[in-house]
Amino acid sequence: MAHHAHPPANAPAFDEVDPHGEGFGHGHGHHITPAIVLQLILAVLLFFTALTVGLAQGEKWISAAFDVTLPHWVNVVVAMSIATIKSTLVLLYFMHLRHDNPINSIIFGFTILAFAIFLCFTFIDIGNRGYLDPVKVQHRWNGYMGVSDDGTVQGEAPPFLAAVDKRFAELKRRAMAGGASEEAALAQARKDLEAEFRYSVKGHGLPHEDLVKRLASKDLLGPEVVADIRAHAPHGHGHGPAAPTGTSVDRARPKKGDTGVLRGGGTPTDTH
Amino acid sequence: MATINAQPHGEPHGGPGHDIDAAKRPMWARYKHGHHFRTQDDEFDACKTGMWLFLATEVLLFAGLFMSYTFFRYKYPEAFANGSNYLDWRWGGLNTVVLLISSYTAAMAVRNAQLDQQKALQRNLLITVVCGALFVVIKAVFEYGPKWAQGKRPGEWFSYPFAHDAMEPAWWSVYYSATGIHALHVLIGMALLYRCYLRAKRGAYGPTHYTMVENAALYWHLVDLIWIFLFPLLYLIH
Repeated sequence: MAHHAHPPANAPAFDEVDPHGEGFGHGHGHHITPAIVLQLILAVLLFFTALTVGLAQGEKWISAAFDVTLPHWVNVVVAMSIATIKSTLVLLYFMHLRHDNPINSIIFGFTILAFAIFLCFTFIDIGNRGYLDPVKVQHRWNGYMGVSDDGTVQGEAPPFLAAVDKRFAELKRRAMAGGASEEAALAQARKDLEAEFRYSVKGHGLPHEDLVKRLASKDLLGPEVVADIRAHAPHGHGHGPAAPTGTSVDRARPKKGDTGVLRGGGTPTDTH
Repeated sequence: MATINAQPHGEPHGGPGHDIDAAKRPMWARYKHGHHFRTQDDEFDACKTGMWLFLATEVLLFAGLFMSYTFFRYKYPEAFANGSNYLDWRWGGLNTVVLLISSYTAAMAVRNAQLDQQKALQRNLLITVVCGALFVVIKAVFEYGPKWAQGKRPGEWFSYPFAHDAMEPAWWSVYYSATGIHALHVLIGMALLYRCYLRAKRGAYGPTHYTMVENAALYWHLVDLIWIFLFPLLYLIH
């Protein structure tokens, strides 16, 4: 232990909290961030929030106005760069890392490193599925992932398809809880489902084609009603193509090295 | 000092007569660090580093959620673009602003404690808690509520009959788990900061002792940090 043999003449009286006069124990060792710095950081953070929203809207506008499809990574890279800048400011100034014991920055740095490794290895995996799936598909047995070799789905419908019947049952249950008879409840549920369908189409365009088919069946809305709604559906509103066909995997961008054996082909393999 | 005290380190060492003015000094000035620490600062630094270690585990918890997001978005980009279109960026943006302001008031509260500005400390802690409550209310009333009622629910609970994409239930699973666990953290942070506020009213925090305020603020900033990433990832996809 270091001793001060001769304390300076003007040294303060012995302090048991700080026996060696190192300036600890009274808050002197802590950096106090000036209020103006905190206010400035808040202003910059709010500015970047507005910027990231503005750029996202701008990308949408460019796609629509010039009829171009911006690469998927543009959206991700722009948004994540701004988020990284914002979080760095929060870490350095709000969380005091800039004027703090370096051990805390090291702890946080290693956490981010662990996350980066996590991210990299996951990308190595999902980025190379295209090479592996054609190999795996040869060893696929009947019923693998709920799909037979002829492409028919085994068991229950996928959640997005089952949703129609779930919703219809819910609407019918509601009508019956209101005292309606079985027949009246069915009619009421059909009416409600049609109203909801029209509302959704108005806002977001026609839903998935398989859903439209299901809604057009006799026990639900019937083909006439659905044909009418289809005729009045807005085009190119909200979700890009007004009437997306097939599953998302069909329309997903082709990826390098991806032969699409398990992903595409219209088999709903990926819906399970 | 044989009596058991609710504030085990709150009494000065040295016995009667050593610190005659003890009763007159504010609570924070009477605080005595744990006997296994050399100085109050050592205790503060150790507590804070402990908090950072805990925050590291929190980051890794959210890393799992961000990975599930990455995986599903990479595999089903259309489902995510469609799903994101159901969210209104104005609610997400408003919540971002609310959280950023609360982060600022939390940072100011730490500064107030360091400078012994007791009134401002209490006010800033309270504003932070109110902003947290506002965040949760906006999320529940304007986002979770209507979406759940329309059937836009996660996984097997999905009952929205007009999906645009087969994988939309997966999008909602990611949405609800990420924002739900984040909202849970907001609630926990609010509880911590409210406890700080109650103790600050009794003068518990000041220039030499504000460990609890510092650590609660760190937790709150982490919650803010997570939202800074969640907001663009969920609301601004197209």
